[in-house]
Amino acid sequence: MIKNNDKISENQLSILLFTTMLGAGILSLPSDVTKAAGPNGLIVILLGGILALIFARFIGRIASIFPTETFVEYSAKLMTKPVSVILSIFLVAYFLIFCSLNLRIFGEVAKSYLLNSTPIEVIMITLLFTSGYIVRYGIEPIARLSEILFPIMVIPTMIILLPAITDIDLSNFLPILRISPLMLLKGILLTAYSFVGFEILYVIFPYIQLENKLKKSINISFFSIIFFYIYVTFYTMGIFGYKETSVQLWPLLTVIKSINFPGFFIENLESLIMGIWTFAVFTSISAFHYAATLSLSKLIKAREHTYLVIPLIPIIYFMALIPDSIVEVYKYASYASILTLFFIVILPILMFLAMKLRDKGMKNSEKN
Amino acid sequence: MLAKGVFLLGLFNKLFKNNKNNKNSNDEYKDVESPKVKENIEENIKYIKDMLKDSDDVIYRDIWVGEEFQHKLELVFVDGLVDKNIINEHVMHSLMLDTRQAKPSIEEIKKNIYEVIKKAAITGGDIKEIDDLDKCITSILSGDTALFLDGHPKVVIISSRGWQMRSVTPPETEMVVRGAREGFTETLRVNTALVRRWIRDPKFKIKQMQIGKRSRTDIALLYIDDIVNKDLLSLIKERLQQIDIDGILESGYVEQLIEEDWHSPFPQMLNTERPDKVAASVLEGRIAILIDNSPFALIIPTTLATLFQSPEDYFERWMISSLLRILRFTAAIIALVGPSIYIAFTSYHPGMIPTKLALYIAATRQGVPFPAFMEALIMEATFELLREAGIRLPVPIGQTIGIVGGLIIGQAAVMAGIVSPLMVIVVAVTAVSSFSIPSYSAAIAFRLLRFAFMLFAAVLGLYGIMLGFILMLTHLVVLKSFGLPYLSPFVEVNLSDLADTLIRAPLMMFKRRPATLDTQNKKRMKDLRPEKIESMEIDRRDNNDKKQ
Amino acid sequence: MKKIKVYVLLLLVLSLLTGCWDKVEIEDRAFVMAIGIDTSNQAKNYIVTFQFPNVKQVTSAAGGGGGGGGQPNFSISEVGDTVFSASRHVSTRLDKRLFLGHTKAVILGKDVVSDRNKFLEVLDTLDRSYELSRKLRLLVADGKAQDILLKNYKFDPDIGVYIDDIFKQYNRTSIFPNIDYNKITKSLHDTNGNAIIPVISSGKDELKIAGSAIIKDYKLAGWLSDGENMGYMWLMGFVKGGDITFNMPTTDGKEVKVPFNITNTVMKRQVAEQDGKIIYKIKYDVEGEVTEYSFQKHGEMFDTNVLGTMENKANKVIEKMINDSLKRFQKDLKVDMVGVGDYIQKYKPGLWSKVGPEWKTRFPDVVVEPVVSTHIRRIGLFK
Repeated sequence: MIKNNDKISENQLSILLFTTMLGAGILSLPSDVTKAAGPNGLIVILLGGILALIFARFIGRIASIFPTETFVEYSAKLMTKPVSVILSIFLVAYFLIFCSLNLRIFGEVAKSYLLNSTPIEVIMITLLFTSGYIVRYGIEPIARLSEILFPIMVIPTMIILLPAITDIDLSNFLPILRISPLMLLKGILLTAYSFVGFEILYVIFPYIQLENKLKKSINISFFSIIFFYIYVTFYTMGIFGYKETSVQLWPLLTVIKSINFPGFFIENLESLIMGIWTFAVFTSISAFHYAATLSLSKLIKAREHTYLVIPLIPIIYFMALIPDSIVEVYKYASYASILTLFFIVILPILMFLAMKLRDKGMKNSEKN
Repeated sequence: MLAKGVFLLGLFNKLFKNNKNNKNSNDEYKDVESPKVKENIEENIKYIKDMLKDSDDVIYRDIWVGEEFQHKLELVFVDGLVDKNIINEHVMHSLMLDTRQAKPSIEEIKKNIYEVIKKAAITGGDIKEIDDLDKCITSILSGDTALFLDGHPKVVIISSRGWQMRSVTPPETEMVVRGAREGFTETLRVNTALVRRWIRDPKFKIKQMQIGKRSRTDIALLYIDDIVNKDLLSLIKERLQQIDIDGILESGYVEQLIEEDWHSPFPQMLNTERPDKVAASVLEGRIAILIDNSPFALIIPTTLATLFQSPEDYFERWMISSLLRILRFTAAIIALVGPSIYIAFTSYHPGMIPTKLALYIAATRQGVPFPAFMEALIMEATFELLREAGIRLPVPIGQTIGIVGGLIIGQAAVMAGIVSPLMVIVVAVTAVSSFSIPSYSAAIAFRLLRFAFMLFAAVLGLYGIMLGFILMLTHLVVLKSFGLPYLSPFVEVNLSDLADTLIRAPLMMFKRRPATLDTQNKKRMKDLRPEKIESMEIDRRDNNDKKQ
Repeated sequence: MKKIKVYVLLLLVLSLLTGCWDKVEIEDRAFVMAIGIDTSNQAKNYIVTFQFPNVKQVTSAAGGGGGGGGQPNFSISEVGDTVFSASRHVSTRLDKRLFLGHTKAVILGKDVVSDRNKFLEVLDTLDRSYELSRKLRLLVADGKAQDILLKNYKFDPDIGVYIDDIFKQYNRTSIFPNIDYNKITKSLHDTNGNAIIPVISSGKDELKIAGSAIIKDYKLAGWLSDGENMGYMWLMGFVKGGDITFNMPTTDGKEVKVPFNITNTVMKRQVAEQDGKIIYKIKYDVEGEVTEYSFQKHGEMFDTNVLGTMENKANKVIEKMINDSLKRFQKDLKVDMVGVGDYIQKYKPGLWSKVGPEWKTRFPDVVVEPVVSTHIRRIGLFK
C-alpha cells in the first residue's frame, strides 16, 4: 500500500500496451486486410501480429539493458550523441504524428456517427485537453486508467457482436491461402501498422517495476490484441465477405449497424460502440501524448515533463488539422506507416548491431 | 498576602524562563507554562477561581477532616457534568464519615493525611494525581472532580463523569435488516466500550489523544497492534498531531483536516455509526478514529469498493449479497448518468432508442416548452429542494411532504405541460438509486457529479458523457486514501481482493486479509472448504483406527 | 499561475456552451419510417417521398380512445436532382427535421430500377449515408413508390413498421426473400450488379409483399413469380419454412390437394466436373408436417405407405419449383444469381481458376441436379 507508487507493474504494462495499440486503427483494419489478402484476412492478422510481437520483444530486450533510461539516453550511448539527438527528435515527431492521426480519425468518425454538426475542432480539442489532464500526472495513472477501461472496452464489444453469429457465413473465408506470397507479405506489413503503440516501450522502461516477467507480459498483451482483432475481423468478414469489406471505410461500424440485438432496449448499437471506442482512442492518444512529452523533456533536459504537456497540445491539434479531408487522412496514414517500418523494424536492428559493436569494442579495450 | 502574591509571581517567572523546551502547541495563546499545584490550598483555589471566573456552574465544596477538623479539603466540580451520586456517596461520604471511623494512628494522620486519604478514604474507582493546574482545569471541565488538599502539592482527580446522554439507539443512517442494532452515541467512552465488546483481543489498542485548542476534544485511535500497518499508523498520528484548530465539532472536521485531497468530492475515509462496521474494519487491518461528541467514527483507509459495502452483506448468504452488490453498483451508475443519458439520447442520438419509445417520447414532449436539458435541470433541482426540505421537517410532516412532493408536484408538473412524464420517471428512479448507496458521503458525491454529467451531455451528447467519465475516472485513479489507491482493487488488480468488491464471495474465500492494506498478519481464517473438511474427517478417522 | 489556469478553463467551458450544435429536441424531429424514390419526367430527376408518423396521435391513442382526429401519418414528397438534395429541400416545407435513423423501408419505383444510371445513383446515396440503418428493407414497387406511400393502410398506418413486420413472417410462405439492405448491397458488390429485391404492391387498403425483381447488371431484368421465388429461395438455401401443395389421388379418380408445412431444411451441395461439363448437385432434407387431407380419409394417414407416397409427391413438387426457377436464371437471363459460381470459387478454387473468367458463358451449361427428400414428421392431431 505504501509501495513505490511511481512505477507500473508488469501486469499493468501488458494492459497498457493493449489499450495503446487498440486505437483508431481497428475501425479500418478489416478493410485494409481484405483489400490486401482477400479471404485470408485472419491469417494475415495473426502473422502480422506475431511479426510485431517479435519486434516488440526486440525493443524490450534492448531497452531492458538500460532499465533506468529512456530512448533519448541510451541511444546516445549506443550511437553517438548527434545521431541520437536526431533520432530522438524523430521519435518525438513519430509519437506526435500518431497521436494526431488517431485524434483526427476519431474526430472524423465521431462527427459522422455521433455529432454531425459539431465542428470537428471542438471534438478534437476536448479530447486533447482531457488527455492533457491525465498526462500531467504521469504514466502510472494512465496505466491505471487503462486497467479500468480495459474490461469496459473489450467485454461489451465482444458481447455485442455475439448475436451476429447467426449471420456469419463461414464460407466467406474460403478459399484459403490461394494468393501469391507477395500479396500475403503486403497484407502482413499492412497489419503491422495496426499494432502501432508498443513503441512506447522505447521510453517507459524506467517506470516499470521489473520482476522478470517482462517477456511474458509483452507476449500476453500481443496475443490478447491479436485475438481481439481476429475476433472483430472474423465477424466482419463472416457477415460481409471480403469484397464488401474491402470497399467499406469503417467496416466494424457497419457490422454494428446490421446487428439486431433481440429484445434489448438500445436499438442502434453503433452509438454505444462509439462511446466505448472513445475510451480506446483516448488511451492511445494519452499514451502517445505522454511518450512524446517524456521524450521531449528528456531531450531538452527539463526537470519535469508536466511543463511540456500543454505546449504540445496545440502542436498535436494543428497536425491533426493538416489533412483536408478524410481521404487525405488515410493518405497521410499510409505515409506514416513507412515511419512505422523504420521504428519497429530497422531501428531495433540498428541498435542491436550498435550494441554488439559496442560490446566488442569494450571487450577489445579490456584486452588491451 | 502581598508577600505570597510576589512569591507566586516570582514562581511564575521562573517557570516561564524554563518554557523554551516546551513543544506543546496548545500554548499558543498562553505564554506561561502551566503552573504547578501549590501546597497552599488557597492559592490553588484562587487560581482556579480566576481561570473559571464567571462560570457559575462550577461548584466549590470545602470539607474539613481530621480529628479537630484541621485539614481543609476542597472539591471542585462542574454541575451537570458530574454524577452527583459518585460525589455524594463515594467521595464526600467516605471523606467525611469514614475517615473518622477509620483508625489509623494519630501520628500517621498528622504526618501523612494525604496518603491516607488517597489510599484508603476515597472509595471512588478511577483516581489519579496530577500536579499541573491547567490539566486539572481541563479535567474539571471534562467532568472530573478535583480534590485539593491543603499542604499537599498534588491534586487528586476523581473520575465522576456522568452527564445526560442519549442512550444507545439503532443507528439512524445505516439500517440493516439482520445485524446488531447498536449505534454510537456522543460519548467517547460509551463508543469505545461498544467496540471493545466485539474485539476482546489484548492486542486491540485504543490510543487516546486530545485535539483542538479550545475544545480539547478526546479522540481515540482504534487498531490491532499486530495486524495494522505501522507506517499507516504513524502517518495518521502525525497528521492528527498537526491539527491546529480551535475546536473539533464533529468527526467531519477531523476528516477534512487530515485528508490528502480536499478538492475531491469523494470521501477518503469511511464514516459509520455502527460499531460492528468499525470492528470489522479494524480486524481487516484498518484504523478507526472515534471522536468525542460525534456518533460517527472514521475508518481509514478506504477505497471506492468499501463505500458500497453494507455490513448486512456479510451476514446473509453470499449469492444474494453478490446480487445486491451488483445492484448497488448499477444503482450508482444510474444515479450518476441517468438524466444525462436521457438528455443525450433524446436531444442528440434518437436513433439509439427503440423506434416505438422514440415516438412515444416525441409525442409526450409535444408542447413542453423547455429543451430536454432544462427540463431535466428543473426536475432535478426541484427534487434536491424537496430532499433538503424533507430533512428539516419534523417527522410527521416530513413523510407527507415526501409523498406529496414526489407524486403531486410531479404529476401536476406533467399536467401543466412543464415536463414530460418520462422525465419524472427518470428523475424518480435516479433519486431512488442514489439512496441505495450505503455510504451517504459517497451518495452526495454522486449527486453532485450528476449535474456535471448533465452539463456534459447537454453540450456534447454521448461523447460528452464519455468525456465526463474519463475525467471522473482520471480523478479517481489519481486519488489516494492515505497511500492506498482509491480504486483498488480494480486497479493493480489483486484477484483475491476482488472477491469482496463487485460480489461477495463465500466466507470460505476470505482467508487472507486484503492484500492492498499491506498488513503484518496475512491470515485470518483457517481453510474451511468442504474438501478440506472432508480430508480432515478422513485424517481423524485414520487416527482413530490407528489407535485401536 | 493558478488563477490564469482557472480563467482559461472557464473560457474553454464557456466557449463550449455557446454550441450545442447538434442538439435537436426530439419533438422537433420527423422520424421517417419509409422512403420512396421514383423518377420524375420533369426537369428534375427524382421524386422522393418521406413518410413519418404523426406524433400527436401517438399519445392520444395511448391515452385511450382515438378521438384525436387527423392523420396517423404524414407523407411528404419532394422533387430534386438527387436524392440528397430532395431530402434537404423538404426542409423548406416541413417544420420538423428529418431523421433517417429509424427508417425501416426504402421503396424504389419500377422506373428507378429500370434505368441503370438512376439505380446506381440511388444505391450510392443509400450506401454512403451515415444515418440509414443497414437493416432496412429495400423493396421494388410494381409501379410508383409514391402511390404506395401516400395511402393509409388499415392494418398499420405506419408503413415502415408494417413492412418490417411482414418480413418477420417470411418463413410462413417463403415466397419473398428475407433479405435486408445489407444482403442486397453485398450481393451487388460481390457479383458486380446482380441481386434479387422483393416486390411490394398495394391493394386498396393493404400491402402485399410477394415475388421479387431480378436485377442484372444494375438494371431490372425480370420478375420472379411466387413459385419461382420459392425456387430461388430453395436454391440459395434460404427456405426455413413455408408451404407447398401436392396432389394425392382419391378413390374416385379425382385429386386432393394436400398442403405440406415445412419446418426445416438442410441443404448440401457438391460440384464435380464430368466430360467437360460441370455438374452441380444439391441435396435437400426437408422436414415438415401435413396439415390437411380429406375428411373421409381419416385413419389412412397412419400408414407409412401413404406417407411415403406423399413424400414422393412433395419431392417432385419441390424439384419442379427449383427447376422452373433455374430455367429463368440459366436460360432466360443467363446470369448466375443462385450461388453456383460462388460455391465453386470457395470450395473448388482449382476448378474456378479454369472456368471463372468465362463464367458468364459457362453458367447456362451447368447441369444442376436437385435431389429432394422430404420427411413428414407430424400429421396433426388426427389419424
